[in-house]
Formats: sequence, structure tokens, C-alpha cells
Amino acid sequence: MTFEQVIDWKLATLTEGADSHMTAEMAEYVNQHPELQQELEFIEAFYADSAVSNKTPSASMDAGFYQMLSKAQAAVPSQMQQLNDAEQTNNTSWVEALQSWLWSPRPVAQFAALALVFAVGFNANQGPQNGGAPELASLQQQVSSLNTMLALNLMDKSSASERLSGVAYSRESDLSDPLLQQKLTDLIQNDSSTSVRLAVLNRLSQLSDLSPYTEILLALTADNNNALIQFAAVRILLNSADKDIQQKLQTLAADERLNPDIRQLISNRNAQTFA
Amino acid sequence: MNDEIELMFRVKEGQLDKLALLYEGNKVALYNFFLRSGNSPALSEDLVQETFMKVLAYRSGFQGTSTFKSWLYGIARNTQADHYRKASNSKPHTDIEEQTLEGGATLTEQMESSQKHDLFQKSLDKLAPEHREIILLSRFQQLNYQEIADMLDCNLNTLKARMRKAISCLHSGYRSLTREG
Repeated sequence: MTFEQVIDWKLATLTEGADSHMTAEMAEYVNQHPELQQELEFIEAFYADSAVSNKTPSASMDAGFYQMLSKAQAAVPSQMQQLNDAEQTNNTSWVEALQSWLWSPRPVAQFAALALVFAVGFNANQGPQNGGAPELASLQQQVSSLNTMLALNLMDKSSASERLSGVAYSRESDLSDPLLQQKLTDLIQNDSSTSVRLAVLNRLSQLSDLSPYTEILLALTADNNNALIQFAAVRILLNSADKDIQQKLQTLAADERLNPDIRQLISNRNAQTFA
Repeated sequence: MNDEIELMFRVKEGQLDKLALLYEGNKVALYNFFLRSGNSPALSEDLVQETFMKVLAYRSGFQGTSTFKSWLYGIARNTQADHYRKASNSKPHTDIEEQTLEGGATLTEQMESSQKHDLFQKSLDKLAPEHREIILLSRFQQLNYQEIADMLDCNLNTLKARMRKAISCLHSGYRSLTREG
């Protein structure tokens, strides 16, 4: 009989439903070791703690899950279609279909953005007919600054849904703003939510000049930890006309450690380009 | 347990609506797993969503060789590990120590009948993450040794040794709080 055997037996009775009857040999051993007796009493008290209760998550968690599920259900048929298309044309990826429901902004953010656009238009039309251009430009700049401020504020929130709204607001902002660039860079690399990271990637895909983000996108493409992010990043890079980027992608594709699907995607795209 | 495996196989086949049943059956326990691991309520909710998103994304990899819970919690702990690895230089989230302090009043209110519970909780919070994780999975998530061993990719004897060590550390922490030792 050993100390460890007795502890294992006690834990097994509490967690595995093992026989809780202590043998005479075990009882004698425990009596000879008061510190073991203390340990057993502690374990028993810990497992018998009746005050343990589960906390209930908020309704927004359920809402988020069901929103994701419904979008996934809607996306599955199109994924299958895209898979078939991919087999025939080798130029699309099922991940693109999956992304479409992951990054889409929340209705509230869309509404808010539309309201701001409406406000700009309305105010512009209230100005004098002649000489109104400077005021309009000034007003648009102010609204853009306001959007940037809102976007930055939301992107700092702890809730993923609020950070998604922040990314949506950034659509109305000037991405040359260094603070906004820094924040988007931070989110794309470190955010805990894949949806948020995909939303930022989608935002970047609308840029004509990728140069501030090229190295980050290449790093994300090379990182095999998250296939969705990899596909999103490589999709943006593949759409770039920059020869230097394409050369770097070729180098990445030559690395056997890279996700085989990504390597295939790069190869397919290059085969089409040079065909 | 087998029902959950069957449901997950249906999800794998494309019946995504079955995921809702798995979510409903596991969401509260999973949320509390993240909470007890020291995450804030908002982050715990994010991590639950992220975990189920990965369940969906990785459904083709489900083999049913262990229980669904074992597979789910394997994804959950990787999701949490990813978060802390990637967020180390990002915005701060409530850490374990902060949560203990914030939760003190609530715990006191809730546990007037049991000061021991408060001490157990504080001892648990002070444990190293790897020790706390094993105890949480066994004591609170009610996973059996085989499920935990599958998840941690170790054999049963190794798991038992880790469990003994974790319990011993918990007891030491408890003693230091109560000035027993």
C-alpha cells in the first residue's frame, strides 16, 4: 500500500464511481499516516462542496451562435457548388463562401453607417448653392474623423460583436489614419475572434495599395494555425497585381511546411496567370 | 454520450442544425469552464462562440474515437491557449487575480453559508494553469479520466499522477489561506 494508491482510490470513488468501501489494509495504512488522513478529508470536502453552481451566459451568446449557424446553413449549399466549380475551373475556393457569412457586419452597424452617410448628404444639401464646396469638404472630414473615433472605440471593446461593429465603422473612415492602421494591424494579428480577424481582412481587401499590410498578410498566409485566416490573407495577396508580392507568394508556396491547400491555391492561380 | 457522437456525425454529414443540440447541451458547462479558468464573462462568451465555430469548421476531422465532450474540450482549451498566446501584447482582459478580487464580494454574498467554498475557489485560482485545468475538467466538467487522458494525449497513469499533484497543490494553497500548515 502506498500514499499514491490511497489518493488514487479516493479520487476514483469521487470521479469514476469506484467502490467507496475502504479495505482493512487501506484503513490501517491511513491510520498510520495522519497527513494522508488530512489529504483525504480535504479531497472529500472539495468534491462535496455543495455551493458550486454554474453561472448562466447572456442571451447575446445564444444570439451570436444561432446567427452563425443560420449563416453556415445558408452557406453550405453554395460551398458545395463552389467546390464543384473549383474542381472544374480551379479558380475558386470553398473558403471564400464560408467567409462571406463570417465577416458580414451586423445590421446595427450597417444602419448606423447608412445613417451617417445620409447625414452627410442631408447637411451638404442644406448648404449654400455657391461656394459650398469647402464647407462640404470640411463636413465630410469631420464625419470621417467621427467615424474613425467611433471605430477605434468599438475596436477596443472586449465583446467580439462590438469589435465587429468597429471594423464596420472603419469602412467609412480614412485608412491612412495611423491610429486606425495600427489598430487594424493589432486586431488582424492578435484578436481572439476569427470573425473579427476575417472582417479586418475583408476591409483590407478593398484597398488598392496593400503596401502597409503586405508583410503582415504574408505572415498570416504562412501561419498554419488558422486555415480560414490563411485563405483570407492569401486571397487578398493573390488578387494583387504587385509582382513583388507574387514573387513572395511563390517562395512561400515552395515551402513544404505550408498548408497544402494554400500551396495548391497559389499554384492554381499562377497556372492560370501564365496560361 | 453516444447520442452526442451520433449528433456530431450528423453535423459532419452536413446536418448543421444538429449542432444546435450539441450547443444547447454543452454551452453552460463550457461557459463556466472558461469562467473558472479565469476569463471575464464577456471573453468567456467569445470563447464559447469561437469554440463552436471551430467545431463547425473542423467537423470533417471528427472521428468519434473518444467522446464528443473530450473532443469539444480539446478544441476549447486550444481556443483559450490561442487567445492568450495571440493576445499577450494586445488589449488586456480580466486576469485571474483581478477576477478573484472582483468576485470577492459576490462570492461572499453567495457563500455566506460556506466560507470553505470561498477558500476552495481562491485556492483554485492560485493554482498553475495546468493543474487548475485538470481539476476543472474532472471536478466541474465531470469528464472521466479516460476522456481527460484522450484530450491531453497521455496515458491513465500519467493523468493520475498529474491529478495527485494538482490536488496536492490545491491543498497546499488551501492550507496557506487558512494558515493550517
